[in-house]
Amino acid sequence: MEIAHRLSLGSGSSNSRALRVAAFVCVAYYLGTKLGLSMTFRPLPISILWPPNAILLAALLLLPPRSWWIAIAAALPAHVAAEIQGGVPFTMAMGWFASNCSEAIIGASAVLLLTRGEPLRFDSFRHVGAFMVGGAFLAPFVSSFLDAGLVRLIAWGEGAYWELWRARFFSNVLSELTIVPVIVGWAATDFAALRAAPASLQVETGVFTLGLIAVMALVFETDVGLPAAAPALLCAPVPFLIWAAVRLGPRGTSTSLLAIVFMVGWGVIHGQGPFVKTSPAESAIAVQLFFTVLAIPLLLLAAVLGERERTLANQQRMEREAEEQKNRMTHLARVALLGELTGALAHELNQPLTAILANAQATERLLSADTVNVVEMREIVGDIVADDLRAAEVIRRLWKLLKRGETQMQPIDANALAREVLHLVQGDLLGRKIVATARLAEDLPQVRGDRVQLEQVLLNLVTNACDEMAATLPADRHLVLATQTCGLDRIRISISDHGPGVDPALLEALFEPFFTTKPQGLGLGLSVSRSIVTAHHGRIWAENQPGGGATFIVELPASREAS
Amino acid sequence: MRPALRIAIIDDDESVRKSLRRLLVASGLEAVEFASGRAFLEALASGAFDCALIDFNMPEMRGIDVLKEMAARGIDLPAIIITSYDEPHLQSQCLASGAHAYLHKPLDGKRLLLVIADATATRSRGGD
Repeated sequence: MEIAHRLSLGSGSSNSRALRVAAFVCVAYYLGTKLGLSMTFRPLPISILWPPNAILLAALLLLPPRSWWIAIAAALPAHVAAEIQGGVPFTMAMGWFASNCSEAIIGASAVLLLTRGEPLRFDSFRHVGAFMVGGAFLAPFVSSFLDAGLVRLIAWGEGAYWELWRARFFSNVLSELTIVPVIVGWAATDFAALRAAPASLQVETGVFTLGLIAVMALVFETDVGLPAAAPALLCAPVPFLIWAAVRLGPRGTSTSLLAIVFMVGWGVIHGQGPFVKTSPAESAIAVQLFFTVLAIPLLLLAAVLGERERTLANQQRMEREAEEQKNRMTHLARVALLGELTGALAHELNQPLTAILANAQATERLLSADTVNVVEMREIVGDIVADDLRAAEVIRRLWKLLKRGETQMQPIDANALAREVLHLVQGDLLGRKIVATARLAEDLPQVRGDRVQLEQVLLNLVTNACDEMAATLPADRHLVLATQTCGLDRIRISISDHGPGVDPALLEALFEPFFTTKPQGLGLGLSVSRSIVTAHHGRIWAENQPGGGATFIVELPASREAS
Repeated sequence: MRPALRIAIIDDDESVRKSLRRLLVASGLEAVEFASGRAFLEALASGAFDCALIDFNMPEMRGIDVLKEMAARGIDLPAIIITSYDEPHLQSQCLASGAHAYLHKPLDGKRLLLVIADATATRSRGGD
């Protein structure tokens, strides 16, 4: 998790990343301070939003603790420059730097503790909760005592201790809640993937942004002539924020929330919008409380939805991988089977080729005679055509067997499948002196499945059964392939051999991957067979027969379609 | 004039036997088809052959079993095993069981006739 997080934040060593974060802190902290000052009711030291502290906290959250000092060192010049330019005495500036740093360190440590060292992510309910408790509440709460105390100690500016504490606390809570998720969210962004996002999502984001701007413009315009509409106007951006939480994820939600807070803050400072109250302090607290209360459920909602999406995507990826794995295994097993079947297939193919060649050479000789028997010629050519088609059929079956195709579900007659499999191994059975009997049930319902895969399973079971009878006396080498209806909605296909049977302790282990009793076996046949049968909502198992030998049974659900 | 050689063709595959018979007949030989080793062995009692083309891979009696049965009965008839299986150990087993030759399918007509000629010539020399 740590590694993935690091990688998503960019390449290079953690040192180069620390330097990049430091450069960001230096610039953003300076601009953030300027922005904070622009949201301050001058000459009163009451700011609606105070971004620098949140920027520093976000930077610490992006870095491992041993690199925190780099971000803090980078913030110092930015802090001093901005504060001195703002007319703050050097002592007070240093005092505020101490309280700001303490807030960031308390916040980052608390979050680290609550997330058990995992890098913070805003698409996790637990992480968002940890951030709210540790970063957005505890850090401003504790550091504001220090801040207010220092202000009183240095005696710069006015205001009672508790007023100072309250003003700073609420301003910082809102800053942390709205700014940290934006920075952390965008830092983890894979911009290449963002550009590759579906066009529909990009259009939606565009429509969303335009709509939000339009609504905010309406909020400020309407307020002038219609004071009674204020409560409704307060809530006008809420639908957009819910839209963002549901559709645009935690990053989209926090970004739009921050944009709205900026717009509202700017409006309040300039005396516009529904949040303008009788005094600056009241206006500031109105904005801060409103958006703090709004931000908490929104960020949590976005986290829950993001988490669900992530789980779903993970699940889909795992399913896809399992499917691919199964396809690979099936292919592998087919190749292994191919080796076993090569002899039989060569025989099947050589028979028609032998007949074609002999017929053609006989024709050559007959044509060189004085009289040509047209009837015989016609008969020979007819036989050549028939044998050629027979050879083509062998190749078609081979191709079908080895083709690594997608699963194609279709209604299948298990009896026909059994017959085809027996036909396919006919040569092999003869070579091994095995007598195969088909006991096929009449009126067998069809099953729904992938013909090639099910054929694969039966072929594998028949080949296994043949291998098992290698040591059986030739007269006893019987193989029975049977089908039967089982209950109302299932069918069974069973393959019985007259081999030594299976060690009862191994009846289940047989189906494990790479379990094999054959010297040259890969041990994949039965495990692949089981995964295929399971994918068909069926089951496969082995039993020992009382009279000796083993039976492998494949049970499949009957198709509900009329056969 | 020397009568045409009589060749027995033993193969369970009808189209193979039929085409081989045509080839041999068109080449001036006499040929008789048998669908199994058993049928051929029964016919051996009544008819005489100069050579037998025996498929290796047949149900009940494989080609090599036919060879062994012939040896057991003391029948001295040149036999040529024809097969799809290119396996050296089968070849040596067949040759050890008395086969004159072991040919892979598909069979080239010229080569088959040469091998038959060779097998029957050896025999007549051996019979002299």
